[in-house]
Amino acid sequence: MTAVPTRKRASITTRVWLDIALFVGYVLLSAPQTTGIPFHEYFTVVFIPIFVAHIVLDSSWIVRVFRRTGQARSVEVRFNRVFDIVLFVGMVVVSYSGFMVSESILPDFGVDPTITGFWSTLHDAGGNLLILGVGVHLAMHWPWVKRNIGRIRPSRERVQK
Amino acid sequence: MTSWLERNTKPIGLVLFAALVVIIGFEVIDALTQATPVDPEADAGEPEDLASIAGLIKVMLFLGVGALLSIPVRRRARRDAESSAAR
Repeated sequence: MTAVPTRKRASITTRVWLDIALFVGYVLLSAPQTTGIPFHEYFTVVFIPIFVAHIVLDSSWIVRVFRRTGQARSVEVRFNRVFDIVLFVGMVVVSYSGFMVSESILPDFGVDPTITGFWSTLHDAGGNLLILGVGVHLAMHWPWVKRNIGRIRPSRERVQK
Repeated sequence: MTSWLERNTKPIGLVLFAALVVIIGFEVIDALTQATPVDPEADAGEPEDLASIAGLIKVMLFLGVGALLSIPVRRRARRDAESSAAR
């Protein structure tokens, strides 16, 4: 009886920790004035796998909300599935345009990209819009965060042991 | 025992493929716009210490505004859930 809940809990705990890492990483990445351009660019390489893992770990939710059931979906689900696609596109574009305007990581590897207004504007404007989008995403999924954030606290049983 | 990567090859592949499609789309737009090179140093000028605090404040402020923007949608979603529960 205990096997299934334990597995489920471990999985959600992993997701919560990953989401915390994603959030902290995102805040740090979005403030290059604070962290400096080299950190901003090198940390993106660490951030991308965390971002992909965030999507992969939630892939069952993605499959569930996109599956045709023949029934009308709630406003929240319809909004989330469109908005999360927009957010994914935004994240990809902002990350990629960041490499296209690289001043640190690519020159360090001997590649000197020609920085054009297109990628530069896209990175700056897209980055700012993306922060707003992440705020919306967090607020829309806040009930999940609130429900599961307690799981990362050490349980009483484990503390007693 | 299979690793997490092996077990999730398909969703990871799908995510990377979707990202590639987005990138190709924007590369096409870039090729069509024929943008001119810019000088990345031109817009630097804010004092270092002030900018470092302002950077973090801006992020938190934008996240907060984003959260506020979701209020009408969440309100509508709640109303929708209540009306479907009443039915």
